[in-house]
Amino acid sequence: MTARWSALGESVTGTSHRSRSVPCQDAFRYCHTGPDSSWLVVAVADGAGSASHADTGATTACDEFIRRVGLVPPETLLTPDGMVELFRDVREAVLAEAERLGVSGRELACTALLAVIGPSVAAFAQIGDGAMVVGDRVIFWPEPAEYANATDFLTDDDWAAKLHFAMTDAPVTEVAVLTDGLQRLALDFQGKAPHAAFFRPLFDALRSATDVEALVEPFRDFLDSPRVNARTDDDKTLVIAVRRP
Amino acid sequence: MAAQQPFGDVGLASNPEPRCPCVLLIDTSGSMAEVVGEVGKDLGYEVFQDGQTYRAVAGGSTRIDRVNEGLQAYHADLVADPLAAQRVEVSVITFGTTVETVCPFVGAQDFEPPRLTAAGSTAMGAAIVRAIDAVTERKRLYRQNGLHYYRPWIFLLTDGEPTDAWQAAAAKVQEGEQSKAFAFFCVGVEGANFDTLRQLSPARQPLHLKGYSFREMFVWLSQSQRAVSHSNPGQEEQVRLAPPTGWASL
Repeated sequence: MTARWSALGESVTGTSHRSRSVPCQDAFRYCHTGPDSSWLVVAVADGAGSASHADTGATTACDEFIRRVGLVPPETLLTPDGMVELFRDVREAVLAEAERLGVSGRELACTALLAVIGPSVAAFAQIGDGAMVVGDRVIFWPEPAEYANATDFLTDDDWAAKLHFAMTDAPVTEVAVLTDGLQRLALDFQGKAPHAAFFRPLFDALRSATDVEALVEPFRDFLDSPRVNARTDDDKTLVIAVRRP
Repeated sequence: MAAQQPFGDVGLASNPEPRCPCVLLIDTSGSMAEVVGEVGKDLGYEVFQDGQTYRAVAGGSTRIDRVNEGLQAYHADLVADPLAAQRVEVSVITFGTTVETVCPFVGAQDFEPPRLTAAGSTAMGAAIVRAIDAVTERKRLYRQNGLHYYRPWIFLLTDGEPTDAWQAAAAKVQEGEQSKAFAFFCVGVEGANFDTLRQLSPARQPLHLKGYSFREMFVWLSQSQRAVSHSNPGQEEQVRLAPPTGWASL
């Protein structure tokens, strides 16, 4: 039988947003696709704090990623060209939504992170901050462009130049995707690596779980725990997935 | 069944906080010693200082006294915010006849507001250059230590005009603002030469302090830096600062 995935995902409103009654501006979706549903697709987006419809932008982007990935054989996303085309389509859907709402595209600005993982090959693409983690490696290290520029957004005019793409043909058995609200807790900036003590217990708990549903609430509680909120007041999203043996 | 916390053992990385550097560039020329409130006893003679003649008095509250009170309020407001207290770094540079780095960069929680005194002329040009050098060096240190940081602020406060050469400093300010190397704010107290200040800071209009509301100004500064330090480095441009209307006019 083909390996499938166990996955957990959650977006939690940051304490600074909650105190101002601003909705969570992060979004995520994941799905299985491809033959025997053996591929895992994870989409995560972080709406810009300055954008009036950031939550709509992030949600629309994630919905469109998942919808459109389902329309093509996943192999087409293993090339930069295929990925650029997908991002272009998703971006246009976000801009169309902006037009429908009668606002400029900038008001739906969001980052975009996408992981497309097959049985023996995987592709990753990202615009803006946040991070994707596979094993002991961060796929694209979230360099803070010296404050001079804000982070990059899918809605930017020069989005294509800001799109990072990477591929691996080493089998991926664990993956995590997170927004910048968790960056300083989940990554070691000195070593430019994932913080093992953060990810190991998460992956282990998911792998050994007989009932993933039972982890949903504790996972949310962890992301909203006082010790996490003491370190970050931003929205935070985390998706973790492990391949079942 | 008592549920054990499944994620209680997840360890959080302890990265150093990103830094939010700010230089307070404060005029301590003789005119800042002018008594502006609670005038004390007239000593019956005049003194000539910094191009102006003043009645000598004993006691009373001077401009620089008000600045010192403002610095206390600035510090108190910053440390009331745990995140800002860890992220904001302050340096105080004064300019009278000479430029003094009264307080090199220090974390807000360890900042001890100095008691400034005023005398002498107004070496503003040299002071601006010193401040720019200080933020440049600070950024180099951050990079060397892998620290993330926000765009530095240089906050200049004066009640006069430069008595030294300032054109080179103005060019550096313009260059720094253009390349977003720092943000340069300029506040003039009554008596400041706003024509010169406008040339010093063409990117950002100099602000005209209302009366002697130094305290309100410093609290605004602290509140603004609190807002910036709660953003993500690189996104502080998106932070909407409160209008300074409570204490300044354009």
